[in-house]
Amino acid sequence: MEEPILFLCLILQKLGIPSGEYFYHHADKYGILAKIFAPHMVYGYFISILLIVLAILGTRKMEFIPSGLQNFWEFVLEALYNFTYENVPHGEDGKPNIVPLVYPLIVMFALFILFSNFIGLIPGCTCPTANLNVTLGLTLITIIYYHLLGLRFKGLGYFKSFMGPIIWLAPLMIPTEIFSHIGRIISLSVRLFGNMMSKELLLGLLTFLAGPFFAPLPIMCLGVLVAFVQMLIFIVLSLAYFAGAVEEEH
Amino acid sequence: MKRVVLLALFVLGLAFANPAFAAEAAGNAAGSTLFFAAIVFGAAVGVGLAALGCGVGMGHATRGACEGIARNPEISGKLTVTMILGLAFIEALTIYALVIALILLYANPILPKFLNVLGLGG
Repeated sequence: MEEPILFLCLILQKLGIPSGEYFYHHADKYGILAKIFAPHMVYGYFISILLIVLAILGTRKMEFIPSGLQNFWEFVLEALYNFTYENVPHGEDGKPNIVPLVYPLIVMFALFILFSNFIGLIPGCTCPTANLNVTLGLTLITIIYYHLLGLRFKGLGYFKSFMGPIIWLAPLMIPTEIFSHIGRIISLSVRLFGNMMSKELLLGLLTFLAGPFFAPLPIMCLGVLVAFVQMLIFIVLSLAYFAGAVEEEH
Repeated sequence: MKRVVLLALFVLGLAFANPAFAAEAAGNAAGSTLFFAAIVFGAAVGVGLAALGCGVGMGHATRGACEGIARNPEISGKLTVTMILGLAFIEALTIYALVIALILLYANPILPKFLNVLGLGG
């Protein structure tokens, strides 16, 4: 199979920057610019700039009764706020309120992962999240953040929760807990990466086997559903980890 | 049913332990027919077995959702969302097996060492 043609990378190549799949694989000959403008990085920058531009456009003239883009943003943000509020301790009967600490991060994850999953369906564009580096980066943000949340709300007693409910079970529980926490890193990143990359691989193989225009269509319909569901899964798991790090043992 | 499965496994074991096959693999100039065959077979069977387990699990999940909706049709929205969530978790297990199969086929870490042992210096 030949290398894919990516439109943004082609535009950057015409401007003289070594950007594209070929330059990324032979990056030691082309220097660090080939790594900064690798295909998944270029599309990541594109999505970030797109989100910032959409946000600025939506909040330029704020009216009390929203319409247009402001309406759309209010709907999205309110849905995400209700979702976060239900799944995370929010300050009633003595539990800590971590919604303001968690909500902006969840909105960033949701919008970035949703847009990057959808942009892979456009011919000539690739998913940034179809690359293990990007999903591992997002996973590491979640992992480090929930450990920091646990340390902040429980102090050094956070490590006592690793020891399990009964104190003399500690030599059995500590390796189990450590392995399950390490398994979370791998599972959260590989789940998103595997789904996106298998969708792209399947589309490429079907195009190669059965013709360019009509054969990949059913996979694309499935791809839309999988893109949305994988974003939901990432958010639900992140919220579950945040809630689990802060809650008391029962 | 169990006898058919046992018979099939027995025949498969005979086929692989065939002395002619082993002699050919040992006497082959590259000696690598069996190695490459093992890579491809392992990748395919791995993904197939993962799909088997995940198919069974997804069937149970869908059955639970259908029975719940049949009992109480007015919360079918919540049940559908829960079912989709559960299906995505189960599907991720097949995706893990697919990732291992792709690593075996395209980015195999043992292949350079194997070629060094054979003296091809890959």
